[in-house]
Amino acid sequence: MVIKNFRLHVALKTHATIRYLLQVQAAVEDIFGCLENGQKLVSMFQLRIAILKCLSIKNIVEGGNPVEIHEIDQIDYDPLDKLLDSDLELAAEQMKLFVIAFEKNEIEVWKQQFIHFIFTYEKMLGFDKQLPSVRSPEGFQFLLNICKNWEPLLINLDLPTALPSEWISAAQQK
Amino acid sequence: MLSTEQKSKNLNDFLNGKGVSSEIINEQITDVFGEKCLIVATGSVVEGFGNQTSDVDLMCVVDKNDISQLPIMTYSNLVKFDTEYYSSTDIVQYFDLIRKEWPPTKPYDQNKWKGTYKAFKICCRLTVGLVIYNTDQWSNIYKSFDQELFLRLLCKWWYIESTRNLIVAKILNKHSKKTSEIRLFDAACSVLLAIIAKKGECVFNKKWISEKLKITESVEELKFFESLLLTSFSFSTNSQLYLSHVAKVENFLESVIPDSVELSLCCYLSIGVSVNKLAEHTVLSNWANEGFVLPRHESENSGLAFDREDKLVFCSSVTSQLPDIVEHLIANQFLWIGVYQSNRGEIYGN
Repeated sequence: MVIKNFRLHVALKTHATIRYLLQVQAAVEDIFGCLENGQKLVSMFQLRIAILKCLSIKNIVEGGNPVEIHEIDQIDYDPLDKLLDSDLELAAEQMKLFVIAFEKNEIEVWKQQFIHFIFTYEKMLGFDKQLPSVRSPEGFQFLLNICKNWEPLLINLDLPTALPSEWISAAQQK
Repeated sequence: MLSTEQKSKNLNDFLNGKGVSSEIINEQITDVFGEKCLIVATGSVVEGFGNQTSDVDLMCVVDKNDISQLPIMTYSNLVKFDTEYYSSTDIVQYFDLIRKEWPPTKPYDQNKWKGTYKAFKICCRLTVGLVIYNTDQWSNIYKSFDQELFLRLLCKWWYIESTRNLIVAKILNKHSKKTSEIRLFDAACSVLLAIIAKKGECVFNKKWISEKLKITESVEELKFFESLLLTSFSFSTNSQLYLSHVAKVENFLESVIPDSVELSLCCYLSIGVSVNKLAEHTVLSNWANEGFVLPRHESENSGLAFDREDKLVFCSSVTSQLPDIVEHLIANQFLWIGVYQSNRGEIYGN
């Protein structure tokens, strides 16, 4: 395989993949779980998060900043700066489709098209197979392998760790 | 906030519904990380918002320093437990940190903000949680934590967060409408969290805003939150809507703290951005692989300065018009912004 842009390749395999595993997957699971509980607005909030994180992955592909601090509303991070208005129109459309499906009681149909929407962003990460859920033992192992295999390259490229800082003990961070 | 009995009922109902006894919780805690001081069950299940896919979140304080907060996942009868371990020294420090005045009366950088953010987050989770186990010493520490005081501090924290995000949203609106919407959304969520805290409810995770607004019977705020979600990602093509949401956030801010505090902005280079040593008028982002040239005469006249650690600093009253160069640095993700409480309109750094 010829890698045309090594920096982008590393950003996708580390920061973008970990964001997808920890944030997109969790948000999607929450959307479906909250829907079963009738929590429409919580589902919508998580839908917005899932879409925003997917957009931020496309933004990396387009040359945007790969690094976002995990679980913090980072005031100096722009997840959309390299995207076009048409990308946001697609995102806004997803929010509207959800509301229409909810009102018409057609959530199951909506779920299928939403999974397809999310998968288009997962494919941008460049893996051969669909990623396992990080909540499964297979998915957690996959996450650990990403960290083990790619962290040294991040250091060499002068990029910060892709892991949430809480996971790294204070002594290791020094 | 919920009574201990209600939290206990919520947890037991959830576990019993899955065929698991609440006594199973102690089995999820390992002794590998040190002697247990306190175990608190927290999160949506305890608060009664949980659904069939929810995890049971456990916080375990141990008598050992320097441990990772990597959540340890365990399963029992398809119930997933997420356990995080914290050092007792760190938790005591978090309790002390949030009692200090926020925002500070002097400029501070993103590391200080991040430390305080984490302290509020953890204290919030402990406050809404259900104590499963504690030693006598930790029973006293936990009881000494004044919940009413904490809610007042939390309200102010979110008020400042909302103000900070609103300032950045307005700056970005001139440069990048797409990202301006994100900052405005964060400003709106933050002021709603301040209102929730003012009404006596504690929440840190923004996804539960709607549930907490329902509990506090905040009808107007809930309607606004729904409208924000419905119009997500569409402000860049609808400026009228953007302006009406800005006005709404400003009104809510005034209702939270009517006698506005005098505030100033402090800006520091973002993490990962540094000054090029060879040409001191250039700043570089090693994340985005981009550079930004500051014409020397402009930076000198604009009030931009370098502190002892060679970090770029700029301070100004929140009501002042920012120099173009500072706005450009903010719009290009080169500057981090904090808000501090200024006395007599004092401006640092200039």
